[in-house]
Amino acid sequence: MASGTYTNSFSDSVRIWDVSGTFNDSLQGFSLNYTLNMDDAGKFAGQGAVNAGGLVDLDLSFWGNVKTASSNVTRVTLAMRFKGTVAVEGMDMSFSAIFKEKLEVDANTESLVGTVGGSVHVSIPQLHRSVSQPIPPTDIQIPLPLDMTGKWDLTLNVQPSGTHYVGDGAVNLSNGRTVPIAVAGSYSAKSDISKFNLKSTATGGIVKLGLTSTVLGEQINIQKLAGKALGQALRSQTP
Amino acid sequence: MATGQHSPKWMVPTRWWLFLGLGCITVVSFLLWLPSSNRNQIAQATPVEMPETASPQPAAFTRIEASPKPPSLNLDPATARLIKELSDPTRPLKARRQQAREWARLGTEHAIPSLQATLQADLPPYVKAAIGEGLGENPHPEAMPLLLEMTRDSDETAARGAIRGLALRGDADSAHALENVLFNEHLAESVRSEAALALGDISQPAALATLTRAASEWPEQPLTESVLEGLGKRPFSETEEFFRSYFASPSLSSESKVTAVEALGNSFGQAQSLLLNLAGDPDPEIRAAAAWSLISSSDSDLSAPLISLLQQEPVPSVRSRLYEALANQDGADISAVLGLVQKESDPQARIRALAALATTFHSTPSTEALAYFNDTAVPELKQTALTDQSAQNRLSSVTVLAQARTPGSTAALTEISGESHDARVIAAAQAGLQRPIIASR
Repeated sequence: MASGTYTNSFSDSVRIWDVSGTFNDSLQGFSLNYTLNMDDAGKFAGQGAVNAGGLVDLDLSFWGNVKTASSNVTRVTLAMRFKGTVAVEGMDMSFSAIFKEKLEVDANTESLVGTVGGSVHVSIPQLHRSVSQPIPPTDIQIPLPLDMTGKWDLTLNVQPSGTHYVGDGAVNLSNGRTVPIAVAGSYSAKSDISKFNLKSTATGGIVKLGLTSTVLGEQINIQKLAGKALGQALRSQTP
Repeated sequence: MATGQHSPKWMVPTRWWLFLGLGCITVVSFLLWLPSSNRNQIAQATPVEMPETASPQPAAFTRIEASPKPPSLNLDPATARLIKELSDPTRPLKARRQQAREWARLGTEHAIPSLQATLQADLPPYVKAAIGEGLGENPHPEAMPLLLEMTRDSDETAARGAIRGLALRGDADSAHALENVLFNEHLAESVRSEAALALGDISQPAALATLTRAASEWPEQPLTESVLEGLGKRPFSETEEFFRSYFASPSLSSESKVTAVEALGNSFGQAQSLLLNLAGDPDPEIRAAAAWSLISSSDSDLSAPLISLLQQEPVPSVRSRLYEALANQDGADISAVLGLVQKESDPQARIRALAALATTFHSTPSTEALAYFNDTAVPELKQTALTDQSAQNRLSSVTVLAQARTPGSTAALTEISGESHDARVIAAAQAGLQRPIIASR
């Protein structure tokens, strides 16, 4: 039966990704910068800025999420909307564009790999004229922040109470992000199996994991892990 | 492709054509269509190097992939050279994928046997995936059999690329092939999940029928999320009946309904009426999901109903989502937004409320709101950025200050940049300082 503090490290098949970080680009007088701040549900939204060489100042808004659809595929979607207006000889020319990046986390290169496509719209309302242009998908690759490897540690601090467990712990990501969790569980003497339910202590139950494990000395051997953390489905089972 | 009304006035300012053309070229070339040396620069967006990080180079371009095994095939020189280039780990993966995609699109007689040989080579998975996507745009009759073979590739990444290729083909045969993949229990879950998403991109009636069948057969399974997301990508006019019936079902879990609500975020505003109704649901998780999905709706101004929802919403996490949706709206009533901010006491929701206020400055300057932001919000956000225990709150505070672009917020960013010990916060503050102050603030 478990009692005390245990830490298990996950480094291969079950990873948790946090894409938070500041990204920027500069090209031919244009600059684009934005900061992704992924919340505990794996979602991010915000505003950034694009400066088109003083010709036009565009506002950038973006939103997206990180989802793991199966144990080995983590998809990231990032939608970006650009809007701006430039006044020329008393008339406003409006720009708008929307782009959607469809990406997957490539654990080998620790980058986001996929395509981006969308459409651009330019109009002069006073003249009732407008032009729209679809932008076909093209390849992109965005390196993840340097400290994001997908590896994570699970720390459990549990105390037995009869055949039950109570305690707390944390999910610690490779970039230092920590999600505190509450732990409850039970022990079966017949099978020598300990089962734990882990839930984040923040509102919304952002981490919900179930563990089936055995305890050998100071080590918890996880036989099965299933649930969700930071919007990502996690599943692992020892054969 | 031009649209719009014809008007005699149009004859006068010929130069406007120039501006219009210039505008389009500017935006398009800025975003994607630059000369080849700068092409796809958005794609090359790199994370800002964090000041406290010792490593001098972006990681993704310094990691070396395993050397490719030479294919044991009798290849023509051109194909052998291509495989060598596509396998070259010193070249950026993006460039190799672009090259593979363009080549796979070729419908020439020579290209097909060359593609067949290349697919047997030990290429990086994401390069193979790009070949699959390119094959979807290849008009050669042999392209479809190749795609079908790829969907059974033991490399799941390559198989998913082929699935996306089938979506690009978009014909009835592709819809049928994707149906077979989705319902094939022997295939990997990631491949079946990709098939569900791909069916959402195919405008064939059979694709819709397959997805609705899957949703009804698997109401609460791992693949259901992708099935619902696929449905959410389709025109809402096609799926409205399905979703209304889904939300009305008493047997489905709250979690499944939340997934369905979030899938409607892919409709980019088409489902906003239903989403606004769901934002008043008794279940706070559904309300939060509905608010999140409304974030993509900005073609019609939703600020008034969002403000109304915010005024009544008791749950802070739901209010946070509503503020995020509000921040994406143009023309919000700034005095109403200010009133919400002044009343907001939950720390996380308050940061998002301040973000909405900072965004509203763009469309509706207000002396009162500006004074509140500079006098109250800036010191508060600075304090949060420097001392809050939550890394997420620290970073959020900086992004709000960067968005505001007032003299006060810029000064705060300078101080944060110098005083913070959080590398992400410093990087975000420094990025924010690159934005010009708006003089009127």
